[in-house]
Amino acid sequence: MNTHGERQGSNGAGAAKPSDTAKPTNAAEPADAAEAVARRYRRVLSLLPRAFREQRGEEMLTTMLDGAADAGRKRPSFGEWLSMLGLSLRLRSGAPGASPRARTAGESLRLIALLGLVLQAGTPRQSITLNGEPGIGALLQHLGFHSWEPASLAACGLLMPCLAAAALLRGRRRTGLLLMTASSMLFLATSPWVFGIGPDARWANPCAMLVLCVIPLIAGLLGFHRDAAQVSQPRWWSAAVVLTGISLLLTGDALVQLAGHPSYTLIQSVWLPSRLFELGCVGVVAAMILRQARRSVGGLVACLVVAAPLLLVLPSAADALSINTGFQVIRLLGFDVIQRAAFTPYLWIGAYLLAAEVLLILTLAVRPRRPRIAAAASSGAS
Amino acid sequence: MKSSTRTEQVFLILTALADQPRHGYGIAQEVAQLSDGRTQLKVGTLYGALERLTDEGLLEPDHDEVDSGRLRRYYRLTDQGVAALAEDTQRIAANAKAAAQRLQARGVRIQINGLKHGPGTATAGAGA
Repeated sequence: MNTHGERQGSNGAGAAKPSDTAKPTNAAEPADAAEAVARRYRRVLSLLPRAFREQRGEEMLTTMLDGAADAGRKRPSFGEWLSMLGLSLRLRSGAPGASPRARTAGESLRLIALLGLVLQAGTPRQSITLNGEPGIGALLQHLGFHSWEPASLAACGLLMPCLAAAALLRGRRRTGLLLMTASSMLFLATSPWVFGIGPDARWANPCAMLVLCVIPLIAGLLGFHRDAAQVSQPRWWSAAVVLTGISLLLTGDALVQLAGHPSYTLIQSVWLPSRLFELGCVGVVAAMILRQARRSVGGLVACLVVAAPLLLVLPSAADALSINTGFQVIRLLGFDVIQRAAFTPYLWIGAYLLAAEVLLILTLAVRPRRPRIAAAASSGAS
Repeated sequence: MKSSTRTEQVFLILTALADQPRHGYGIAQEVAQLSDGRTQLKVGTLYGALERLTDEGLLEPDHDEVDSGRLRRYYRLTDQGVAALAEDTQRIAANAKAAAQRLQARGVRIQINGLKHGPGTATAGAGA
């Protein structure tokens, strides 16, 4: 440091008076103080990803030190820490200026969030209609409603995941995140009925609840930040998501009603159309997510993720065919074993977790750094 | 980014760069001045926005200066940035004009774009 050099020089002169040696010491104090302030602000910058810090760190430090000098601050304020933490999180989840890996991470997070919403919409219906568990019907009765009465529109809360997905796909970030938060909280509250385990076992499936509520929500909050790549799908795509939610809700509730019907064959008569309808709806959502992912680095990853839940729906359709048309060969091929497994929400949850892990691994495989940005047009020194 | 989705912060940053290139702290100061101190940009927010706007082609680095070992990078509006600012300005001015006309109908007169300023009435700038 200069200060050190000055001291050495003074001492080396030997004949210097005390007043002469005091001068550089006094001058060194402000320099030391300034360096201490700079050191503290560098600590704030250390929150940022290294690649971004290498490119922007120096100019950001200057900006922060200018601000600190004007405000007479000696250390970073809480707001400055918070602001830098926010930027750090946004950069690590794909904001402009992020590395290719971080951009892929952002795409992965957005996909995990969207698929989590699909899972939130599909799991109650899966549980209700296929496990023969009380599901929404019991929840409505618990709340004092009877199915098919207008009051059963309370169940529309279960449409929230679809509405949230539609808003996010339309680029309505804030609305989508608000609905997503509400949807996750609602799902957490109703999960005892969804899993058919009753209110006394509210915390019996913490892992399932965590996967269905917390992971999509965190992925959504991290992935759909204000600097995230703009997402905007045509309006009719969003309408398709909402219609899918309605169909999942109605077909599920219809089958609960029919389960108590004296003629069980009636269930069989609606089994095939409802399964095929369900397959079509899920296919629309899957196509929409794939369309969203097409432009991204993680397109292949998106295919894998979407394939997981779709594969779980296929045995359901196969089962419908086997019931209605007597294609017992389908059972011989082992589809019945798969469909029994697919009928439990836990398999969906497992597939979702697996898909998220695949996304994570493939994200880590992307190169972490981005090429350096071009230098400014010209440089000068003053 | 569509005009309708650009935030007030972005509008102020573009406005701050409309007359001349500025460095990071200069932009933050100008934004505070333009907004009468209502918008105080933190560095994380400012550089997130600068990075995004550069990525969208609305801004670009102009030149670098090194002063006492400290790097200052200046930014300027691109042609696309000028067009975006002009579009936003027209939109905001049109909204402000419509609001002023409705207020005028209620007896509150606001001076915007040549609208007359009546006695004992409120006064406001168009903000653009």
